[in-house]
Amino acid sequence: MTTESVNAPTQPENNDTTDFGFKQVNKAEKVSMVADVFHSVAAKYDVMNDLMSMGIHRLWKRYTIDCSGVKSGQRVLDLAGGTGDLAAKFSRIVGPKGQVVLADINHSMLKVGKEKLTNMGIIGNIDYVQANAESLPFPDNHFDLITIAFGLRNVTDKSAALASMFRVLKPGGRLLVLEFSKPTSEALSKVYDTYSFHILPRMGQLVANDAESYRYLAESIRMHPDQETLKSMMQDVGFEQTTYDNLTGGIVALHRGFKF
Amino acid sequence: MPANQALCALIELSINQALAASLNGKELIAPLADKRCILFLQELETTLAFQFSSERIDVLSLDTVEPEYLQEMPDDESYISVSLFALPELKKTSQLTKLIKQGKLDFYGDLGIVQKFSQVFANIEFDIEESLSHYIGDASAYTVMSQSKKWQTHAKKQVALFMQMVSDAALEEKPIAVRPIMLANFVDEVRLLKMDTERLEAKLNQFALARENK
Repeated sequence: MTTESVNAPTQPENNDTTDFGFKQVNKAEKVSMVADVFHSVAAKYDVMNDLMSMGIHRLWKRYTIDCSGVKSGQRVLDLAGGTGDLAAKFSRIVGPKGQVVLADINHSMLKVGKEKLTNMGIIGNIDYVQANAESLPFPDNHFDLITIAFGLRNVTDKSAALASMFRVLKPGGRLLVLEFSKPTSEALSKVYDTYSFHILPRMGQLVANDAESYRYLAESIRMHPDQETLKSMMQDVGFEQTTYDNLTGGIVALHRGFKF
Repeated sequence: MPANQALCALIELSINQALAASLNGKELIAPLADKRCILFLQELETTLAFQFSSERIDVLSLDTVEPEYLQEMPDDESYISVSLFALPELKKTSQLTKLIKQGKLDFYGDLGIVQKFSQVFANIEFDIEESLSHYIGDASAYTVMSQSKKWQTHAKKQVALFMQMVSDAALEEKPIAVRPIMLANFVDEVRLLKMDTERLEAKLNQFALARENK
């Protein structure tokens, strides 16, 4: 595959349209299109994550938890929490005096997450909320920590979502955004492109019988803002001490920002 | 790849597998539920946090803990800074105060958490036959265990025999063995004998020469 074939198309984006992978779609349509993707992959989500990342996604998520600084009794929002990988650990860390809210816009993902965590015996300090990240249904200054892992790129209006997170975060609170990003080395970038556009959709077809959703995954990663752009977006909505760490050569980046 | 996270995952998996396979793991960690023990490994300059819940232990890798935080540590937390080499000694709860006095262990927070944590490792019991039977069946597990017990008994006997031999050698053979001073004395005697022999040889040669001249 040539590099050109995987570069994001540079179509002009007007106010009513947004990207859905490499396509431009109406903003109102994107929500339901993303929802369809996740309805489709929800049942095999964990298996596919392990397969696609060769298990490394567990280390990326661990790194996120280690950087959270969360303590017993605190209130945590795990946005786009999917099948609850982060929420499970946060629930044990904050303990019975704390609270974890697992929020996802997608009902199917939330259902899978709730079932999985309940089976793991995680109950009592965890709530499940179907919520749109752009307009979070929580009071101002409510959470000590907000995490969003592999979810921000699927949000239609990312700035609105970041502003909404800033609103519900307590002063002194922390936002962690774990998301696919731009590899720092050209060689790794080429290998990664080949993997994403050739191997990933085939794995999706074989395991989840759904190549299209995994093609969207690869395309949505390329359309997501790079490290510096996302950092600026966070600063624009008010986050301070904004930094990021590249993981696995920048394939994934963890952005950090504080509200003071 | 985040190496610290891989290390934590490995430690966490090992501990939780051991707790699950043990006879009394859950009972041992129950008093620690919702508590946290932060462990700073001096040589590696790595901080690990052990977060206890009713059924498992989560291991996190932390940045350096601020001194201000240590001074106002919450009731449900404890912090220990310890050398890697002193880690095995933590299993003995009676040694904790001694280690603190010797400066091998720096401690903040609730000492009870550290004592209970060390008791987990000191008192954990396993029913290996029961665990093994899940994989290879009851009969095979019984055979493997009885064979290994026989081998263990045999090995213990051999070790005891060897220790007895070493002890005999030390107590009985060593006192009658040649000591360096005896060896030096023997060398001296041999040297004197050699000199006497040389003198005798010289005298004999002189007699022989005198006889030829006559």
